[in-house]
Amino acid sequence: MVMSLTEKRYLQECLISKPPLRPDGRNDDQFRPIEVFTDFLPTSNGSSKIVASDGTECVVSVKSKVVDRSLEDDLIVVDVDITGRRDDSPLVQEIASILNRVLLLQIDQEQLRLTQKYSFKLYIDVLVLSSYSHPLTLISFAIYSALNSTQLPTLISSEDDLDVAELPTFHDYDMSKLNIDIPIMFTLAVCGQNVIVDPASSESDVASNGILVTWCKGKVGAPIRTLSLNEEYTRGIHPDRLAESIRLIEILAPKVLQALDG
Amino acid sequence: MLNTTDRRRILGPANAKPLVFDRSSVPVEENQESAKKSSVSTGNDAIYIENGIVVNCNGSSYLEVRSRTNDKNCTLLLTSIYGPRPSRGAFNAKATLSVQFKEVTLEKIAAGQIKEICTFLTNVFNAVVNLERYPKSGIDVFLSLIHSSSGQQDFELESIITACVNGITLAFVDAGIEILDTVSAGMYKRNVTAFMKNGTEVVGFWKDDDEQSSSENILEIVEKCKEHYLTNRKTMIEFMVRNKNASD
Repeated sequence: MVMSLTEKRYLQECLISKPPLRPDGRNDDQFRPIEVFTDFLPTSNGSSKIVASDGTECVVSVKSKVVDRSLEDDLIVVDVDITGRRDDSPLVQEIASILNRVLLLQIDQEQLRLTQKYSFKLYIDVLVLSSYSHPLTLISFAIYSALNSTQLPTLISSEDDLDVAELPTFHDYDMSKLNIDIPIMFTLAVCGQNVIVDPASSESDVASNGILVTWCKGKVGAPIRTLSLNEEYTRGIHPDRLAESIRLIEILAPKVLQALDG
Repeated sequence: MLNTTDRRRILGPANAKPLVFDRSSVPVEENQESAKKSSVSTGNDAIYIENGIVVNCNGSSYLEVRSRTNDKNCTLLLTSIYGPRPSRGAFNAKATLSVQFKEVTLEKIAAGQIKEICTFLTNVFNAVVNLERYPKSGIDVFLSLIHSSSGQQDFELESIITACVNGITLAFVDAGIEILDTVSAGMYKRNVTAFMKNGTEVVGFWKDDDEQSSSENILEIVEKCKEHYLTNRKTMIEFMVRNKNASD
């Protein structure tokens, strides 16, 4: 929604006040309601669809392939497609690059190991059908749900195949659940002295700055960085806001994970 | 000056000359050329700065940074700024800023990471450049990374980002574009923080790898970056003052 200067000014004043008055009446640490559907694509190993209350919708599919580990360095590849944006637009490329690196950095590739020689390689395709606010949080929630619902074929051949030239063989029906630590990412908006989680599009438009915080293996990890939410109202922030956003995520992330797991 | 023309108003006659005051009382500097260059050793790094190398842009800076701790870590960066130049289309009350990054010799950084750096730097300088001052305009920043090397690996992204922030600030000063403060970045381990207002405000924070500093509190990291920022900023200001004195 395009707002006039006066509307933006009013919203900015509301968000700066203590406690912040958010246009949808949420608290500063409250997320928008989301709906998650998993495992609905029959041709992929894992899938999820996530719909936020503002109409942002994201579909993620996980497919796997058996590869020779000595030939492939990166065992996870993420591809992002956002409707209405070109593939070479800065936002799409930035999100794809962040996701690729976070997943490669935080997921232990040993967990994808199949035998001594072979590994699973995961192809994660992200499709954002409609997006009204910065889609990174939702995409990362969707990836989390999709990877959590991923089922991979169960190996029946021997795991030790260094000396034997045999390809891995799988059970006809049995699938085993993929067990990996999946990082999730949160975007936070800084408005004056306040830090708010999961900013809606109108809030992003007037935020002084954005912060990206990653949560993995039970703690806040890299990458943490400032993020562009708008061009007009970007300002410097007090270092305490960085610490505050990390503190907020440390409290919220376990609850969010519990909700996503449930 | 051409680049600070106020496009909101009708311009004066084309052959108008700017008002110049008599400067005969100022002693003429003998050796202007040597004073334009600066090679300053700071606590951490050795930095070489030069301004105005690119002649067809509005402002440029050339930076050579060699880390004191790691002799192999060296970054050579050329920054040029074009603008504010008029933008067509819809009316914009503020200037739009764009940052392009390019490796001019060996291409080692992935395309996606380059985009990340560009959006990060655009976000930093959106908060720093006084964009209201230049309506209906576009300011384009071009970064050319000439060389970058590090001991353990091909390149260290964090030291490149630090050099980019410092280089862009120097180029903005050279272009005469209004910035709110002398912004500079400081690096600690693999964390970069860009500060303004004497280190009280953070305009950019970048942490991409927590292998080396996972246990440290973020405020401690920011504080360590601030020390580096203060030495970097001192070097830049020293250079600018010397440059100014030389040109007067």
